[in-house]
Amino acid sequence: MAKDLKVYNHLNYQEQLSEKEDGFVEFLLQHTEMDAPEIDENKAWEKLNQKIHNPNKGFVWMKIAAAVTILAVLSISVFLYNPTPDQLYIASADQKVSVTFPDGSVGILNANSSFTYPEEFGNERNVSFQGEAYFDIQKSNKPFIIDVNGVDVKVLGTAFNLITTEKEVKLYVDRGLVAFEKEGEQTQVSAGNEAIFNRETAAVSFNEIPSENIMSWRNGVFNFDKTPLSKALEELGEYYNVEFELSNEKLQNCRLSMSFNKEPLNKVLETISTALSIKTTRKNDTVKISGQGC
Amino acid sequence: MSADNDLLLFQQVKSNDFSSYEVIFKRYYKELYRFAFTYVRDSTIAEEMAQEVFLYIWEKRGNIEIQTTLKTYLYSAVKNKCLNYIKLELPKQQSMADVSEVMLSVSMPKKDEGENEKLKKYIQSAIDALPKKCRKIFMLSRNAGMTYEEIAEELDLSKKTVENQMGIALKKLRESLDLVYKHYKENMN
Repeated sequence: MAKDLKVYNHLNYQEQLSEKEDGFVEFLLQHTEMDAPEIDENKAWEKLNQKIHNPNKGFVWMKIAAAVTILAVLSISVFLYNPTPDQLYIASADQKVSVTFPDGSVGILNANSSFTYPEEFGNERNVSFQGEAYFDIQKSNKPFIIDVNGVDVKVLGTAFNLITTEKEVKLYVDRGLVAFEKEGEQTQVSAGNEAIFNRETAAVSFNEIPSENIMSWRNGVFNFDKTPLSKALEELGEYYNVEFELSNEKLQNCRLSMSFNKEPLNKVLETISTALSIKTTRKNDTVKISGQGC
Repeated sequence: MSADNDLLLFQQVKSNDFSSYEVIFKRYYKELYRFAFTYVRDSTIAEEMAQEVFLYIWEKRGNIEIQTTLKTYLYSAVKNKCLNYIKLELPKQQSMADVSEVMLSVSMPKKDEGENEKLKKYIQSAIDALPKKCRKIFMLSRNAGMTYEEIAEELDLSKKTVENQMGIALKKLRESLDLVYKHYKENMN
């Protein structure tokens, strides 16, 4: 039954869409998900049982988009359009974007992140968010609530860094007090702490010594202390918008101990090369690193 | 696996036999999921559709009278769920989908994915970012394989409107996928 339908879909779709044929429709067709991915029947049965026996306990997640990727050729920097008449949608592609909300609060989007918020705030200040951003929130008695795919982050006039992925929501508080809220249950996080909300188990865990460079993407200040080279490069790559390629596995064993403060990338590369006796070759957005390793 | 056997099983479900319910689930869940997928083209949502139908038949078992076969009943229940989802739920979720899909599409590289998978996902993101009405019509046509007349009837619109919306959908997809498509064509040559 399903198979017949598929064939029919194809024909129908093609027939209806074929205007001047330049292969675009064909291209769409060839890259349409036609086969349902395999699923785990036993898991589904367990889930159904849970719904039957504990009807209100299930946590209704918004469909979490699958991790996807994009071709490097795309370098659209800012999308700005209205999903609904009174909602603004702002997304950054490969650059940081600073956004001032209607109440004067500021959000700085890291690359590949986005906000959706109303033109005017009502009794609550609601913002939906994806990716990574730094927030500096104006004090007000109207709560500032950030919706991160079903988990609310409630803000009490403060500054913090927020990262959301399919698996978790990471919150690092720079100043003040922030709370995770889920079904009325609050977990408060104070300045200098990082809390991680695990989407699967709905548990909140604390990280007392968050990554040294958690705010670096915003301010360009990096402090490395015997940091594994691969980790350091990952952080630097995010800030400078480049990808690093190691030519040799042994390079992974190298450790970096140095600081940078908004230096241009060439200077950073030069410093690293000297320190580790390695060679860096930059071509467009890729930096190749070669050397003997450690 | 005969239809008779199905109806017998369902009779037992009606008298609260949970193990017969499980047999029915194991027999039909996967195919109903695949059937739902042809409409919604999203594995999570497709599972949800199939789950909801199973939840419904357990909860309302006392009131359900099956006139045809159990299989026909289940398939048409799933189909209705999916059409309702496309008509009612999908538009509600759109603003979120825009954000998550389009952005995630730029953000999280998955190394083991082939070029084809990337393209599929990128195209899906572009479809998800279509305006509500447009997307609904596009999905009913592409996924559910409905003709313009059927869509017009289902959504209570004129056939002309459906045609126009399909035109808009395609135009917008061409725009948003322009770079991707060019890149694809270059690689093909």
